[in-house]
Amino acid sequence: MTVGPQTSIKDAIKNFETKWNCVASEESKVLLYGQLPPVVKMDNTLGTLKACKHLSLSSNCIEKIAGLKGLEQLEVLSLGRNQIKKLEGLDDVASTLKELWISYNLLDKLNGIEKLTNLTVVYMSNNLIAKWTEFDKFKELPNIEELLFVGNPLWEVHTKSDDYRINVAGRIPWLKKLDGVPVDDDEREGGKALGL
Amino acid sequence: AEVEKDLEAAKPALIEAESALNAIKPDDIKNLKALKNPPDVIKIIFDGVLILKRGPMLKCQMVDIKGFACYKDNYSEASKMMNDSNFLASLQQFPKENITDEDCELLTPYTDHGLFTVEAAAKASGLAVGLCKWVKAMKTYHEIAKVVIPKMD
Repeated sequence: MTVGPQTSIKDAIKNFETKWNCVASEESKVLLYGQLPPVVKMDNTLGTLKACKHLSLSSNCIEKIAGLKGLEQLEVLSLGRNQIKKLEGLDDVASTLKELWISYNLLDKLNGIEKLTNLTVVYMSNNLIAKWTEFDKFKELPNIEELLFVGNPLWEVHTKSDDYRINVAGRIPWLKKLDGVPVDDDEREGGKALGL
Repeated sequence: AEVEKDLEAAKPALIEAESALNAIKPDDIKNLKALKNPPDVIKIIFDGVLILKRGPMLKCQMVDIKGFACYKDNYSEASKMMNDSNFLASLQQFPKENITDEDCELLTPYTDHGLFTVEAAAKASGLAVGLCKWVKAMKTYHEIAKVVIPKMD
């Protein structure tokens, strides 16, 4: 495989500091999205972001989640539009992480999500989840309120058969919002009737 | 009442977006579809539309367009979108309340781009102007509404 030009985390942080005239290690919101050329590798430099509550790395070419040790306050992790295949490397932030934004990636499994028990929001449109047995790992998230799941193969199939929302509501009856639209009692009742 | 006044701030952008969409004629889309290789500005603007509609997008591959670094376009998906006879209506009825912070963040590399401007769009076509204004207005609406709507509870 050829290695094209890429931006390191160190340089992405420098770009952010120049753009916003700030010191990244003091900022609660650190925006490293859309680097040109893209970031390919997450590394330990991220651990210098001691005040970071919201880390954005979307619109890059990251293949693996890593380097989050030291981000002790991280609440929102934004990794949309990358090349991520697995939920890994999240143990260090599991106790603080509330929102995971990871749409437009290559996730076909949700292994690892069960450790992120404080999650309230998961945005994961346009991934590759194809089976309810995978989807059912969301049941391990007692605090999940909002889920974005459009554009997954499972969504596609069940939108066509028109039983998508009740299937989700039946599986996670405590979910408040699905794909931007509030889940209502009829959907929860319909889901319950499926006897999942 | 205070809150309603804040939401008013989004109104000019929404009204402008609405009239911009209304100015697009079905023929504009037909003419665009006839082009084998439309101007880059149109491709970039359509990528913005695709993100808002949560359609498929290619990975972020950097290309050079007249000295501007930019992402490889998703115009083949955009063409499919245009083949839907309800395309314009779907934008007019777009559920803007469902836009997320993530959608806006994914849009930003596009809306911040030097070619994603009404001026650049105007050099391409009226259709490009309409869609450019629409994308920008949707983002503006979300950014205002996310501050204002929580205060309503």
